[in-house]
Amino acid sequence: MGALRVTADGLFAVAGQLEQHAQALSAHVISGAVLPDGQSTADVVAEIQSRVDAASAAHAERIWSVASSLTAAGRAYTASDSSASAALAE
Amino acid sequence: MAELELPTLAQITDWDVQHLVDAAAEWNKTADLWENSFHDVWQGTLRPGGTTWEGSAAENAQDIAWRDLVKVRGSADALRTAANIAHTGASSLSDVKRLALNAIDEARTNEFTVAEDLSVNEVRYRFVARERESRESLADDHSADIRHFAANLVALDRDIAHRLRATMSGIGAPIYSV
Repeated sequence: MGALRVTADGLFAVAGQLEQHAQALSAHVISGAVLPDGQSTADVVAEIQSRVDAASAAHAERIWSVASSLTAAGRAYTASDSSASAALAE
Repeated sequence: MAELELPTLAQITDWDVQHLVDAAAEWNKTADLWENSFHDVWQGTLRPGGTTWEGSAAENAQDIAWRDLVKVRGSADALRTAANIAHTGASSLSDVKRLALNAIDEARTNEFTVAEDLSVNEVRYRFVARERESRESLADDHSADIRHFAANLVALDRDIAHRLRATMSGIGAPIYSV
């Protein structure tokens, strides 16, 4: 197995790990807690919680995207390795 | 500055800071989750599967992952700042609430009632004439103390809210690298 295949397998493994991070971020929701009425801090806490949830969702999307790119890169390396093997066999 | 609307007796008694305590814990946890996730992304691009990754594709991926991490660290730091404001704010609000409740208890100990609107009223129906003036003066003192701490409670809550709001612009999702 050549260096390219090692890199490809490594990229597939990393992509799998990143998908787990993305799932954890996607599931991380903190808004929705009961907040006291008539306190200024309650209103701003609610706003920040919503903003945090939106950011976590955006981070999850970003990591999904990175994982997808790494998987694509791994496939490209695998294809190159196969092409190189085929060229040598000719 | 506009005069603060004072809370009622029930609002002081029920004043809650648990939402700030809980938020501080959640925000710190979330900041760690964000930062650790993007740190792992960056680390993953350096040595995928334990093998050093080199070449232009590697450099591109590593550069993007590093820039994402730097941006997310900025958001995580802003979130930790908000968590710190919430945590210390909860403690300060609890202190002021305790002072307000102590002032209310003190009035009651001196045989006054404290109404929902925080007015302090005489309980005794009979006392000698010379006591009347000093009792009225004492009621005024209790009323001033209670209103002072009640106003502080509202003002502090608003100040904490204002400082939390100031951190919000840094908390949103960053614009990621292309």
